[in-house]
Amino acid sequence: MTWPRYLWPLVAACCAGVTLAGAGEPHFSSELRFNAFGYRHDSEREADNSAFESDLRLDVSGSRGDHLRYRVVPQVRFDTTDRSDPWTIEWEEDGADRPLLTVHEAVLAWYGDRVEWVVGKQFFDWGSGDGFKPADNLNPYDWVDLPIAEKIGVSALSLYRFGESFDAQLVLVPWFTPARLPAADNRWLPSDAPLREAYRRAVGSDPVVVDGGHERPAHATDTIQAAARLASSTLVTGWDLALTFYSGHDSIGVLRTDAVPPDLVVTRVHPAYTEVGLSVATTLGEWSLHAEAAWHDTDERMLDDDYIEYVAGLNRTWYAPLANALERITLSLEYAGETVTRSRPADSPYTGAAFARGLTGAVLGHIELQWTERVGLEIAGAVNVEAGDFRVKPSLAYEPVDGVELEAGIDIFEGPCDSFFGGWDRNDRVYLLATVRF
Amino acid sequence: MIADRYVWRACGSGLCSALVCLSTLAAEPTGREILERQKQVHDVSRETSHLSMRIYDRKGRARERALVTHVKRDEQGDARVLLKFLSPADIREVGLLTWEHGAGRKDDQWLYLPAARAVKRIAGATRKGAFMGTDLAYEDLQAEDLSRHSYTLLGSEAVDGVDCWKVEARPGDKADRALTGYGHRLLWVRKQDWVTARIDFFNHSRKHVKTATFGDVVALSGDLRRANRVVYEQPLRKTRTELIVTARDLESPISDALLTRQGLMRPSR
Repeated sequence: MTWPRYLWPLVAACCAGVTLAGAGEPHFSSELRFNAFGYRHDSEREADNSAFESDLRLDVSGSRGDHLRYRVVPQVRFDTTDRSDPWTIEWEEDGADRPLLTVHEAVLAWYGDRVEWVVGKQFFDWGSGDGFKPADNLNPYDWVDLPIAEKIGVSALSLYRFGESFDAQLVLVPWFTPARLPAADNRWLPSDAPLREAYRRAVGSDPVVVDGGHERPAHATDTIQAAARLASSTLVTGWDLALTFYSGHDSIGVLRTDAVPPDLVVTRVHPAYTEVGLSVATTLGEWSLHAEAAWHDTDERMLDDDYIEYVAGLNRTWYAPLANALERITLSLEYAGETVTRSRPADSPYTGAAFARGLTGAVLGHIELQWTERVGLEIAGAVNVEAGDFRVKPSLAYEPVDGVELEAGIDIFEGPCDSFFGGWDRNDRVYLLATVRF
Repeated sequence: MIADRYVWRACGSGLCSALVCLSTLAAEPTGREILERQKQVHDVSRETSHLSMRIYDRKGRARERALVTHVKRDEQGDARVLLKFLSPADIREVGLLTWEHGAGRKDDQWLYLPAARAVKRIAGATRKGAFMGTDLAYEDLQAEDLSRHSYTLLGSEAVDGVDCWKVEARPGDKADRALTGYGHRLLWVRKQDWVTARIDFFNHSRKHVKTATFGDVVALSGDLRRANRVVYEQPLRKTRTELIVTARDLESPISDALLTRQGLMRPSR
């Protein structure tokens, strides 16, 4: 039995109706984005080396009385590469394609003196990391375009309780939303060469890879994700501490390979797991420091490893540096790694899907040189130290007038073809992004 | 808040305070006594203000911002201050939360960037930097910390025809000096109502880098005064930031929960 999802928009509509009746003047704003790409190499999966996509978000927010607030953000998308399905309208974004029309975010919140409730489709940001957040599990990602992976909102109930020493938050997500992975005709779909090679070694011939589909958690009780967080900024002077717990399913999942010669059937499944995380942040002189670790404990040993992911990093901003030549320089540096505490058995038919656990000993960096408030150069990147694969993205941003931002940049992926970033080394591209807010 | 922070240190007075002044500060007060008196007169337990901000670049082009500030003081006088931008759309909901602490303890400061949905703790040195492209440094957003400065009365001087005490403020020791971008400041405090009329900011190389002027002083309850207009100018950069207080509320309660990291993420009304 699955939870009746169709009830959710109805409940939301009723809540919104009750709220809006008697609510004050709403606040409207919009964001329109145009993104154009040009790829350096041809792709077997996509015929065109250029792409264009656009999306429009309308943000409506308001309040009723001192405590009740609402926010609704409908979104329309369009692209030239069939990554948005022109016939799909979704509330829960659990389809294989991006929906043409969705509600990016829709929340109804009650803010009290000691307690706050938020219900609706929402986003969470747990953890202290910048480029990598191992304890941030509640929202799956849209990996359809890897360099601009974005979070997907989930329908959730969040309860926050303020305390003298600790704040506590409890989140329930009744329905499972898988991460959105690239389709077969998307150049960001990783190569299946490692699976073919394993088959070839075992069977001695080339397989015919067959898509076995997608096994989602089926039962109502299975789909409920629960998460809790205890946080404090007062327990230890000058430190932010947070302890998190998560129980749910891996949104990216693993791949089960069933060899039925000559076919190799590949099926995506989502292991259940629990995770305990700890994050800290403080300052030391002119530096901000942060660290975060999460222990991922997979329920079924056959499906996936147990492991600890961690990240530690620092940030600093220099104002008016280089004899006032710049407005500011912002630097962020992190090291992210992973330690496997229990390996999946060698005879397991499951393997990890791409997009997951890519940073197994990586340095992540980000530097921003801001000439004026309207012109800035940014270089972001990550390198896996052992494998030698890396990603780097230099970009230039310019704001010609208030409300309009232009950004031009290059995405570069390099490394051995079986490495995390190297798998996309034919996807180097230039891009131009225009954002208009009104 | 920006306006109010200074407005706060600046206001006060009336007959009552004048009498107190005459009795306790017989003859000439010291610089510290002036600042203490100002704080005593103008600190309130809570205050919410709406402000409009106009930022002029060196070519005179203006960018407009609207923001709201919430300030709440505890019994020890330490304040928790929340600042949120209300417009334009690209920075709407960007927020800054400051927990001020007494002597011997660094203030806590967090910045909320809604695009990243992340609250970040800010390092001390960041406080010297420009706040969101304005002519204000993060440290300008904090209340005058008497425990971290020494004050010297330099004499009397008129500002816009109003007689003022002229006070020099310097960081107390090496550690205090490291926390600020200012080697010293000159403050002009109006004798009639303890309102700061002007501040000149000097960097550690003794160069004059910024001036703040306070105008449109209004009388609130009792001795309480506030400047409704503050202008920060940086003569070397030829830039200017103008702040106008459009609404002020000293009565409505401010929830403790609002002045927390989680509260920083609450949407504005």
